[in-house]
Amino acid sequence: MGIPNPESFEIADKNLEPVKFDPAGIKKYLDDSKQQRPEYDQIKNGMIAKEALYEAEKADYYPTIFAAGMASYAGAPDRDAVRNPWIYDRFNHEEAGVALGMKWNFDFGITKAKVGQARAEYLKVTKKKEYADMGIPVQVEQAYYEIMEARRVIDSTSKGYKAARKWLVGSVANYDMGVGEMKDAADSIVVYAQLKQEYLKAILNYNMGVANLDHACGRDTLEVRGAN
Amino acid sequence: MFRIKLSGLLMAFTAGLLLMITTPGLTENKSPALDQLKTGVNQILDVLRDAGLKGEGQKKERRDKIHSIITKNFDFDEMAKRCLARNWAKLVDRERKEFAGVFSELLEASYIGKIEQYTNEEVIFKSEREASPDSTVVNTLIKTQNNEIPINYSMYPKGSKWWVYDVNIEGVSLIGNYRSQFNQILAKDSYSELIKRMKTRLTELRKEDK
Repeated sequence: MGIPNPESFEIADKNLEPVKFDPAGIKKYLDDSKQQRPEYDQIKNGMIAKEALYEAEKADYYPTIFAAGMASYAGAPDRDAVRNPWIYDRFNHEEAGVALGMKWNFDFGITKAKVGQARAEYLKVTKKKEYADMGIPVQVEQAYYEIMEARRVIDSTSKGYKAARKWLVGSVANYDMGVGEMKDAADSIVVYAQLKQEYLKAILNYNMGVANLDHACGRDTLEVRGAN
Repeated sequence: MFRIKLSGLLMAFTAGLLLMITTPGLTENKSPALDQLKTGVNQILDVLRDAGLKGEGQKKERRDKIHSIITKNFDFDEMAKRCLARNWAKLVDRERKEFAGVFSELLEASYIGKIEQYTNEEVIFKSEREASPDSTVVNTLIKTQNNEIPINYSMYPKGSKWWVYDVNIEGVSLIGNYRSQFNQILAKDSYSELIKRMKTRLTELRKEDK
């Protein structure tokens, strides 16, 4: 092959292995995501807060009615009490009063804008809830079926690259014996490398699928499966 | 992503040759062929690890020792005969000797350099099973850094020893592979063409080794 005799070659890849994963039914992962995804709690609390804010802003459309009262008493025994109703005696008197008031902001345009903004915030959280209700299960299903697909690809590419390995062994042995073509040996190396690459890619997809499923279910994949 | 370097499949192949070595005689041992292989491998590894035999200056001595161990245990004539199968009978004695000689020289020239680089791979001797009344198969596994490569040795008893006559690497029989290739050439061309190709290759390998 034009390679000096003491040299050989190897596809120097790291041993990428599929992570350990025993798939259960999809329902289990959907249930897990409902229980473990933090988004569900965040959205629930967010909705309560935004709804309260919205209601508070709406209150500005209406007047604020209030009541006020006052009482005052003063007595000075050494002073003569002034009984003239036109003169106010600060030292001898008893008095009380009640007032009813109303405050109403007539800037309806600003209030409307504030209410609109609060409503928008509330709707945003509502949409987030809808997204979570629909999106998270989709995320779980997508990751789950990606894993299933990657598993199938691993099986098929595994057969392919093992067959290519046999071809490689045979063609290189023939070439070294002087009875094989260099092209055949080179082709076998290329095909082997390609199929091995496909195989490793399938393992990568499988592992990524498992990590995505962990994430979709609200689990930390490193905690669950370790760094390797 | 992919790096071409020495070892891997070809290393496994050469490891296969390295393992085609036996030493002790036939005994009542339950797995005599396996034990012979194991002993042979250890002898080769001893040579390879011997600091006094390392380096370019010791190449001849080192290779002579390896050659000696291999030829004592590796039945090249039987391999050559099995490679040619029915065509063996069509050859005259001179051609048979010539073919067996070139065949064994080619095998050695192809793989001796690679055997010398055999270092850290782990060889696991798994089992020995009777393949027929007069042959046995020893199953081994070569563990490289990244791969596990199954290599099975077909051995038969002759005299007081077991002799390797075929190596199966990842399901590929060395003899079966050569037989198929030799048959094609013999069917299309002639023995002369076959031996010419093999001699040409042998010359190339010797040049590359210098």
